[in-house]
Amino acid sequence: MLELLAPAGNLEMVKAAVDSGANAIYVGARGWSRRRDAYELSDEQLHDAIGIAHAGGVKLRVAVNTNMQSCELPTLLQKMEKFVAWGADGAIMTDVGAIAQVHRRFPHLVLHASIGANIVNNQDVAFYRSIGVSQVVADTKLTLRELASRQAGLDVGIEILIHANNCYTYLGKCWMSPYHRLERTTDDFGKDLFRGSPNRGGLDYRVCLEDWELYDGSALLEPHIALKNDAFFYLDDIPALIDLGVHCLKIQGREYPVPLVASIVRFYRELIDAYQAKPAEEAFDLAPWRLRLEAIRAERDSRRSNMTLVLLNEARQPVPHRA
Amino acid sequence: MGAFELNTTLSNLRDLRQSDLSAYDAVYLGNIYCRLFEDNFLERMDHLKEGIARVKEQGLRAYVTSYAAPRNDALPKVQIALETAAAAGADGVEVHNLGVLRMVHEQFPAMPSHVGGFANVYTDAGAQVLKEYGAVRFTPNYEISLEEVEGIARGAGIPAELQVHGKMPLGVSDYCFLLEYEQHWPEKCPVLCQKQLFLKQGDWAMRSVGKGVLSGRDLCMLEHLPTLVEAGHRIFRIEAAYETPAYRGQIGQVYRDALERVLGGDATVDERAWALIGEHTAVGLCNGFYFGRTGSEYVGKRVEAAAAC
Amino acid sequence: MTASAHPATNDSDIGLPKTCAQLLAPAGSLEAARQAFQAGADAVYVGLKGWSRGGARGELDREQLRQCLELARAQRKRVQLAVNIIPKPQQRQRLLEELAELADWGLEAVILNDVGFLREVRQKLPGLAIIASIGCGALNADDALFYQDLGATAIVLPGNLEAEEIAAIKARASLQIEVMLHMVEEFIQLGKCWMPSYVHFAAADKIFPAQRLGGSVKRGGVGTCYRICQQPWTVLKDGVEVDQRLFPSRQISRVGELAAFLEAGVDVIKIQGRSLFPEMVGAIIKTYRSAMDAWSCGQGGEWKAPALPAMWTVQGR
Repeated sequence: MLELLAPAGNLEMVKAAVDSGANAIYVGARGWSRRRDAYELSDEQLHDAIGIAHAGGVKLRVAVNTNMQSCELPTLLQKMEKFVAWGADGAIMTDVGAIAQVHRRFPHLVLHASIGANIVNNQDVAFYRSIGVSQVVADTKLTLRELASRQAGLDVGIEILIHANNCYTYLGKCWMSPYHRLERTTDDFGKDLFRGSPNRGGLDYRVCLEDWELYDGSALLEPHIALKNDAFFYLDDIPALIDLGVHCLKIQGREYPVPLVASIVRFYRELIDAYQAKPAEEAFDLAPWRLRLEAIRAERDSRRSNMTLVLLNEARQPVPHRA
Repeated sequence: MGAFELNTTLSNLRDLRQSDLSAYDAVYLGNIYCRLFEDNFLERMDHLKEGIARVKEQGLRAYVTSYAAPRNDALPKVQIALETAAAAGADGVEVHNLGVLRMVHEQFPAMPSHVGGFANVYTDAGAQVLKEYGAVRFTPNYEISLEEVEGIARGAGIPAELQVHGKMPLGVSDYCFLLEYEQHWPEKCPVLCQKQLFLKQGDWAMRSVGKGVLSGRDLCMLEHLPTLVEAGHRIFRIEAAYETPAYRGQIGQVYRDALERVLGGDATVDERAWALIGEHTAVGLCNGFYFGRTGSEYVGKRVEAAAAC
Repeated sequence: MTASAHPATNDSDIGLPKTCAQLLAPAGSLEAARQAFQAGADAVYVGLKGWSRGGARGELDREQLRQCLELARAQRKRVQLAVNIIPKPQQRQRLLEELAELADWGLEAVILNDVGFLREVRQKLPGLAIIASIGCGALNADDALFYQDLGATAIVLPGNLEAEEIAAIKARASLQIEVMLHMVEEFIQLGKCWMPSYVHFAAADKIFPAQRLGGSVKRGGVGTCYRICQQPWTVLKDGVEVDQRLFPSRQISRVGELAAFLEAGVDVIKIQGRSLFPEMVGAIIKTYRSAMDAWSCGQGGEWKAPALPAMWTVQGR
């Protein structure tokens, strides 16, 4: 059965995602996922989230998909003990070593390779399969042809991001942000948050979206370079993806307001249901869906732009001196 | 290996022919960012064979690298490059992509694998897994601090290879934005990315290589070599794929001399070395993430050299 | 479109604005129009539902258009209506009637794309100012003269022309010159691309009066240029796959060269982006407004281009 996977950056969003028709929800364990801690859940909240999700017949998986420090792996395993005991339905992970250890400890836990793992070819998929991963989030740069090849040749669940960003660089293979600003902070629980590193802590300063000048040595070539970093909504490809038989359609967006995320989830819920209910010989008209998506897009763009400004501004602030 | 290994990177035969490699013990052949890089070793098997031979003739070890993010369509060529490397007696292959590591492990088990910086080794457990797949050394992800590197090397039981000079890789893309400007510039692909291109805004600067981004500042660990050596590190890289032959040769010699002195217990500092380094940097120096700080910072006494350009 | 937005202050040479150039903002919604005016636009251009390039995204229905006209009138600013798809023969009469009604509501200017339709509007609705759309593909003085002869009062030129080219056109043609200084420089010249409809061409929705053809930007577009150029194409060299790449296209925003264009005599600085959300329109307009004001206040020598807002690229055009 095709799974619609919704993001939740807080408990309210968990509820909203359940109500909007998600089949599964993912939340980040505070300090351990590829988002800043403001959009992650404490252990207690995670416990409640599992309850809310399961009560609504919805699965809940935990994102622990940063590239954590070696010394943090034992703590990760302790956390996973709790989450598994509470009934978490799966874990989203990136670090190869962490995946291997979690799989060894919890051989029945479903492991999803995060987009942060930058899995781009069929050999990659096979590698991650061999260390215990059974679902893989497809890199946003992959084409339908590559996905079909993956589907045909490999025994792996394919998850497609249908609302996310298509960065200039490959997700997971970029540390431009911490090169410009890295603030090592620890939260109340002693977790190093690596503020500025998307791979290690989750907060990314989006330096790629700065208005860059291009120089050849010291000669100015172009006064305004915009590196491509588009936030997208899939629409025209949804029917093809459903027909291909992908396992999961994933919506990113823990950092957005709850009503916006709810409207995105609802939109895709209704679209998927409508497409799946349509008799095979009928054509599917996407035009009304396109219209509806525009209003959602405008709000998303506005929020994203504001957030980018805030982040770029913070990236220019000096890092507080540590003793 | 002698007391230490100093290596560098070369994208094509022309770079090899033009460079004085006498300061080095080993060379990595190939451009990891783009298949269209001019006469990329990884696409020209004739050149690759010749390159490996020439490197070995000079008494150096020849390693063949591989793409940072190869898609399915690139894998057949990767396969051929690995076959060529094996047949020509390459001393190892560098892998940045775990799928390629798997290919080497399954088909060329005798070929030593060096795990590259884009393979994202962040933990000792991760390095351990890769060791089981044939890795004999690893370059940690560039975000890893020196403190962490030691833990990973110890935990996995394989040595770390550390970049000590040159622009630090910051990201890789499948999209070359320079192609948007081909019409307007006299240079075309595959020559476009060979200009010294910098993205700048205020005091931020990064080096663009089309499908990759490097730091604007040159990583420079010259004054910290004693620390590295004391911690037990012996494999050092000068990233120079997009630098001039003069950079490769002169910076290499600086580090060769310095490492020999350090390993010989000689604490003297060669001021001429700093002068040379100053000549070969456009934006300034940094220490990357080795000291757990923002990557563009320089930590150390030579702050005035760091700011020079 | 000839009234100056800068009221004359005094008769002395000092401090007189050097130009009467207008700033024309895109408005994909009423809110965008509001923000554009607030940010300093002298005029906005809007699309009428069913009849503009680029389709459903960024068009206004009749009621919204009416409100937009009122909004503009209250601020003594202007509205251009983009009716710049190429209507099929059976649609032209309907469209003419529509425009006649809108003229009664106070519509003063339309942007058109089809030469035959342009001449017809000129003859039958003589009160309307006609702007030849960027889709006409005009690039030189003779192109401009052609549209001038046809009856266009203004013409839109792409922002990748140089200021000298504009000056040369200005020297020979007397119609107003609009330059789209902020736009996506696509791989194929705007107006000359039918790659999407080559790939997929289907009669789509029944909602709009024009028959929208999915895949044709020029024939309504249904909001779907399929962005054929932005798909990863495999590049083959001697039959062997060597690369995957998109057709290069880039966002240009030549606010830094505004002075040169204004010196060359550009009448209207046009910003592309009916798909932009309102706050982004406001931010871009504000940037261009301050740049234009700085130039007209005579800050010639020391003038430095203001910074563009973050994410100034058009999202999902």
